[in-house]
Amino acid sequence: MRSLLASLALGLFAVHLIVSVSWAALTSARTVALMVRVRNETPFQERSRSYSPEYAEGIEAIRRAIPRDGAYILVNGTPEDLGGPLWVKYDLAPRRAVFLGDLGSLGSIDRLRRRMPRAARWVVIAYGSYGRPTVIERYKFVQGLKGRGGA
Amino acid sequence: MRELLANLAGIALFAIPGFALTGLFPGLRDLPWMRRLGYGYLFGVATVAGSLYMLSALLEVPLRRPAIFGTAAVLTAAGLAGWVRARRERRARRLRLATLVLALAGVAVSAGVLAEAVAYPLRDWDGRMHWSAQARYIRHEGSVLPQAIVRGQWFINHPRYPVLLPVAQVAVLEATGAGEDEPFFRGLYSAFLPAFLLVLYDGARRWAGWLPAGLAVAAASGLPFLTFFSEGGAASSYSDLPLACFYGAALVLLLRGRVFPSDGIAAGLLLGAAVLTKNEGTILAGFALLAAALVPALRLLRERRRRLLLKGARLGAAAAVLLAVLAFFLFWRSQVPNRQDEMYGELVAAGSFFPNVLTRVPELAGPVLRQTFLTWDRWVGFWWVAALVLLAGRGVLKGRRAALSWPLLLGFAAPLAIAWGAYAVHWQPADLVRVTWERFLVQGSLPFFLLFALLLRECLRRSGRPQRWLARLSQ
Repeated sequence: MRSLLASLALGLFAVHLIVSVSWAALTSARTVALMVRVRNETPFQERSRSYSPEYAEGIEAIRRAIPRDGAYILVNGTPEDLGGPLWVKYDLAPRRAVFLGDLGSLGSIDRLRRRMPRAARWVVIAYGSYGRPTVIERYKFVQGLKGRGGA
Repeated sequence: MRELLANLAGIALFAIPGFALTGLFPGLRDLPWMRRLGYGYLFGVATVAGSLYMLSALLEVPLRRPAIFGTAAVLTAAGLAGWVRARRERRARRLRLATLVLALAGVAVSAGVLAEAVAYPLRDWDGRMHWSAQARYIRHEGSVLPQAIVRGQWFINHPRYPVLLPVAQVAVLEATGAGEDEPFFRGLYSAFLPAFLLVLYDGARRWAGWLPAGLAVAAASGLPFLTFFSEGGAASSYSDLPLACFYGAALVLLLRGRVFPSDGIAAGLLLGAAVLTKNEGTILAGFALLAAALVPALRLLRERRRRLLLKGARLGAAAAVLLAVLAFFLFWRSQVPNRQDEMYGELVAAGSFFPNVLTRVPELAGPVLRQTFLTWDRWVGFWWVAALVLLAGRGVLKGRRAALSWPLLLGFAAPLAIAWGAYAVHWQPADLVRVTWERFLVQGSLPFFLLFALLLRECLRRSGRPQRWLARLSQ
């Protein structure tokens, strides 16, 4: 009985091994082929292919606006997507961020002003699904919210 | 081409000093060079990145090229001195055809994972949320205590997580002169896969023989979650596979039958790296020492006094190194204000841990089993096979092999116990199971695959025929 069970286990393992190693070898071959195919891409082209051209361009524009040792306010423009602000924060690092949450729930203007550190002169709005992130000067952002009757 | 060369140079930055350092430890010096390379890579990351981490935190040495190349050079020279002093006898080893085929499978998959690192920018979640973002802040200021981390006002996820791997990233980026969007550190992560496979082969070859060892390596190299999966595999910049390597390799060194007290220092260095890799590394390191203490405890009446003393010395050496690293980590962490973190310590202290550990079983057993057994795209049904092999080969848990197989089983169970503890206190445990359970399986995978090799050996022994058939391949 024990030897039958052992044979069964080994048989199942052999099937598993054939399937999994074949899959891994195939994936490996495909990836090596892709690496050869895209070998002349610039980092910007690589990022446009992997994320989206709009996202890659948006990040470039924000990097030009905010110096590397600068700081900014980060806001999520797509509440249902939690990843957007994280990808933008990573791509803009080492610029320091203060995250204020979702664009639609920032609270009153006074409270918002208190939460914004002086060092942060820009507001970056991140969008889900690799939408183009936008940058706006802090006072214009606050004026815009005021114009719409508060946050 | 430039990307490929830079990634390979990043790997060499750790592999060369680490390989040289293995010459200091008699227990590793005698290994065949391929198996030694697996440990060497892990030592390289542990010592080069660990030294830079300490130099920056304790002496405020800037993390720039002079410090990086200087550290690598000093460690390489120290290791080579050990090589020169020790002349070793080489035994000719016959390379079996089947071993060669299985090794080629590992090489092919590792090459594919490296190609993934070259062909894509970083696309994973935790890597961008935490590890590589930390690396960017650290690189900018050349310090492991940059303003973004030590000033509480800035948005950092898990600021008090240890930063050994981000420091390793910085070392690669600085050494290769990488630009802002040139993630040459990705090769560093992909190289943990061959290191894992080599250490696995070493331990399994020693305890189960060449055939089960080769089969276990082939099984590991075919699993998507360990290889190409972008949320935790070698193709990502998650810290789970590196942690699995440090923890598992230390366990192999501590459980080896041939006892060298210096292996304890080597294991202590690897456990120290585990502490500096992830928060749960501290608990796993303690567990590794406990598992290693279990072997002499199980053989207390049968083993000779001198051998027990040697094992005690090995364990003591590992514990001493580990405590020193732990003290350093607590010093570094004391300078980082906490924010945007789960704060598990406080949740456990709040008192809900003990009832929840049991009362949440009905709620969480389903998600845990689903993540383990019904994730075909990530495990290709491996855990079904593993369960059957465990049932068929359970004989290894009794008799002569019990003193080895039980510590390995406990070594695998340790990360799962940590996971369950976290689920017991978390406010959204089902969500946490979905995103973390399989990563805890990865953390314990090296001891598991070592046990798996022992189980396969038992199955082969019981079934008889496949062993004879496969033995022909070895001719």
